[in-house]
Amino acid sequence: MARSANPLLDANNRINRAMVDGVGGLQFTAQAPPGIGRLIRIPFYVTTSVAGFKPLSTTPVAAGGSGTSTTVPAICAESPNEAGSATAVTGTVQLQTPQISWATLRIVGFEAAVRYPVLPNGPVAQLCFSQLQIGGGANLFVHEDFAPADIYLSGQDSFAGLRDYPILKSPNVAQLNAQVVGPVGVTVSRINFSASLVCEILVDDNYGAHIPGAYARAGALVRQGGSFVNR
Amino acid sequence: MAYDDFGLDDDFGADDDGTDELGAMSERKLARLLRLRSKLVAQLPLVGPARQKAIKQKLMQIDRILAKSGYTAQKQAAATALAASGIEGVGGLSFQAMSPPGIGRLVRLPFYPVNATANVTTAGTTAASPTVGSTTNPVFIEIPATSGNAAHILQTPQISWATLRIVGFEVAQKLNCAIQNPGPILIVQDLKIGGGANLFTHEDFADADIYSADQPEFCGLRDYPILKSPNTAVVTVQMLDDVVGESMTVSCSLLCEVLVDDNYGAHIPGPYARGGSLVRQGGSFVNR
Repeated sequence: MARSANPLLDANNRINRAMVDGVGGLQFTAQAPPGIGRLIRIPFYVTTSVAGFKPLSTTPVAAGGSGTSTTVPAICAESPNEAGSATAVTGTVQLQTPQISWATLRIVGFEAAVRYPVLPNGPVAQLCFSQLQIGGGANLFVHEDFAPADIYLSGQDSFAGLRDYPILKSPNVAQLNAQVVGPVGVTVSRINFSASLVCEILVDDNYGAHIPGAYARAGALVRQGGSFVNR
Repeated sequence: MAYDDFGLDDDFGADDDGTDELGAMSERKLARLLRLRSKLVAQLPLVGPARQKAIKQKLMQIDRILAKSGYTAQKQAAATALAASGIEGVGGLSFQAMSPPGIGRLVRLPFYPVNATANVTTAGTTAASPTVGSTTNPVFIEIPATSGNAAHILQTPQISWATLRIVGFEVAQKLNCAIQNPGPILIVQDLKIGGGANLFTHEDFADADIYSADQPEFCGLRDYPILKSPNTAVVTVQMLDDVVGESMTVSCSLLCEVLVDDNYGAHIPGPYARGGSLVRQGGSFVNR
């Protein structure tokens, strides 16, 4: 019998080489950029005027009042009392992304960069979010009402999930509600924050079509049934 | 040492009652056979031609018994792989160690505050000349007279000795603010190479925190263009705050892959910057 490659022995050898004999088992990882057009951020801007929410500027933020901006996403949120609210919450402000006319995006996440004071001068006011919607569609958050911004904080080891990864295409925009909870009758430290959509660029008018990340490809977007799912 | 030195009988225990109630070979007997088989195979290259012939005959006999019992090489390979991957402690638990990215990968190219901007301290600032730019030190300090400074440009130097591929943008910022205040925010816009299109996806300003060096992941860009001398990269930054009297120390960098280095030669870029992952179809800026 000629000595030929035996599949049984080959398999054993391959596995041994890969797992046991020191080749594998220990993996080396380096943090890498996500690839062209992946995990890009689209900022939200304050587009409705609600007391207690103002975009930052070179002019100090005066107590009370409101403001809007379509260019500066950095927002100062006051505690309810400073915003003129008699209750423990401010009014609900709507934030909005700009129309992205030059690309078709797939929304894969949401994150917020929130600056709380190191040593607040009283009970800590808390920023909360609700109703992340695209073009007036269904809520992408799993919470129907408000949830603390902390679950969407940037700098976390993982992204918080969403109910769906919908397409964002002009003229549609994404909208988001924000509110601050704080002590009644006491003005406490402000919160400076910004919020962003995490998106994949599917088609860019200038830079062309890209391959999205594995989490946003067809095989990972399987949905069966559901009243919002096109069959 | 001959195959029968292992102390096994010639029929490999076929006359033992090594079967279960359904007549299939027991796992113990199967394991014994496989053990013997591997020992015989290991012996093959070490013995003379006559002994080799005998071993081969025994191997064929074992294979016949294994085949008759329904045990195949594929099943064995699958079972071994399964065991190796999670059950017997070899795999299933994967050990990872953070590693350097490799030669010429993820290098940082600093932006310099080349333009003189009011209330921005650079390495060139003196008491007599408080408003000057710097092309030698990338660190600048925003100390606004009000609650923010004017937007200003940062620029990378010309890198004449290498061809780079831009794969990211990073910001490092340190705040000086009252402990009861949330602190200032740096905003960024218009990251451009040689006067080209904006590489940021936001047409207006965005919070620089999304590009923070402290983030666990890198933020994406619209494209990963080549940066080659005399082209340079520019970005616009601005510090804003809700109160007066706070400051921020900042430095910004491009994340690049060195494709060709005049001194150290050409490198293989990371997988995220290789041809296969830079697929772009269509687009007005894409050369066909």
